[in-house]
Amino acid sequence: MNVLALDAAGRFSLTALRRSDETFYATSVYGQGAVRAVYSSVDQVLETGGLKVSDLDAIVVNTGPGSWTATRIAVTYTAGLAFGAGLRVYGYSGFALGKRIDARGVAFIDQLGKTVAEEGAGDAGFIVNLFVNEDGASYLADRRAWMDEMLKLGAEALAAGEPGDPLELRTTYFQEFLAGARN
Amino acid sequence: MGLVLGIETACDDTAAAVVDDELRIRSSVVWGQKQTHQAFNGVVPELAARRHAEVIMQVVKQALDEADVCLSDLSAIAVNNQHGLVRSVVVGVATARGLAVSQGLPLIPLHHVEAHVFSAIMSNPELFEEHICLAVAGGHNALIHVHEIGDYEVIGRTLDDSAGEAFDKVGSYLGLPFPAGAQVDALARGGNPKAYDFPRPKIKDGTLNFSFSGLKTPVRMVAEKLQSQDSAADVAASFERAVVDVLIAKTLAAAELRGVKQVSVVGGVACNTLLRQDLPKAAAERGIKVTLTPPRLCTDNAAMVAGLGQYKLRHGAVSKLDIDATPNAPLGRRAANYRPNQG
Repeated sequence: MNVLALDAAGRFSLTALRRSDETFYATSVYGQGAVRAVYSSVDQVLETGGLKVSDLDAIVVNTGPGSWTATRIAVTYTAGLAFGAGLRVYGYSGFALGKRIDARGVAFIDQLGKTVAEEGAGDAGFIVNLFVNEDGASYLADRRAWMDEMLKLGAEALAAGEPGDPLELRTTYFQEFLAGARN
Repeated sequence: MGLVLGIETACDDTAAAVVDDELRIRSSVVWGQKQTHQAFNGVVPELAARRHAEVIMQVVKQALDEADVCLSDLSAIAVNNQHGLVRSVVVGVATARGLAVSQGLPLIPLHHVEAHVFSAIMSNPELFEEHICLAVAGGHNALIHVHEIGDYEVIGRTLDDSAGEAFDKVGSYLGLPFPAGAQVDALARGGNPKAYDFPRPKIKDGTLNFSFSGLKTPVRMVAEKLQSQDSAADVAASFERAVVDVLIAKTLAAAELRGVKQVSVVGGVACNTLLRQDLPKAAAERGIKVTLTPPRLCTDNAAMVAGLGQYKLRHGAVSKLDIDATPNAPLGRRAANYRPNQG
């Protein structure tokens, strides 16, 4: 099973590719423009893994919240790839992923949502890790588990026969999460 | 038969279309966002981008379905990557690149205003020859000397607001919902264009430039004191008369200055009833022929993008998928300093 994962919600565009028993990773910085950064990271990981889009079985994408423009590009780019190649594409919010990766995240995210809802984002007391001075390699190293979990989610969704319709793929915005419209 | 899919997301219309190699429009789908922006009396860029991202795949699918084709039937995908709101433009570019990569299709990046110029050519092939194009809409307002396709010289432009912006603003003064251009036009049909003598900005300044910002103030002052709907119609008609007088005077001056006998009018304001009625008459008196773009190609659409894409495909102007959004790109190589977004 070949699965591609894309996360452009943070400071770099991150990709991971699961090809049989091997996993490949790539990063791309936004300094070159968000559109180019997103597709470059996808091109790069496919090239490293020796696969074409048509060789994939599914794509997984972080639908946000995060960098509005880069996340939106990631969502629309993967929808285009999936629609064109007849692939399934699965979108998960960063919160859904965070809760799954670390049980401690459930309490943190629930508390974060509650605090922001009650006090506003300015007083929530959390740091968005967008502007931390970190190079691509260490950024990726910190997030390998995250990307691996995305690949795992994609493989599970595909095995379960979830539709993964590219026409239904949507970006997740923080306000929607707070309003309970998305999970 | 070579088919090109066009994708357009410059502002607040999400559009996709399929055009064949004889420039016949096989499908043209436009998904507007009027309701999203009406409460703000103008386009909110972030909201526009969100709506584009939500619907673009459905719009593309509908365009393919209506043309009764699959992606594998296409020869190329054309996309506007050079003009508009950056957050909106990137949605179209990302989608087009994703579709192109998945099918191994060439990408044709192009300029939104150039696609508008081409929309007139799609209805009159004589315009492949040298002509003057009045491009007038909400986001751009320019007089372009089209030497040939791809060779443009911007010889006049607005120094502040476009005519389309002025129509929308005057509409709001008259209590009409955004976007108000078509409604001001409809209201003006029942009004007296001589009721108010609004200024004709820069009409005799000896340049080909426009300025519509200053016209709004006297219109607003009159509109604020209005008592009846009849008076509103008079204001709309008088305002429209002033704008159209300027557009006609500058366009014909441009044609005469350049010794060109063909003129085209493109963009959303090209739908205006008075402009469509009076420009051909005034031009005919000076031996100039006018091509009015069909209304469905005037407002933002992807058929013009796909049509220009066909032309560029034929002439080898395709990208190696190395594309990015450059939404403030100049129009044509002769117009290095012209940025439509800056007026």
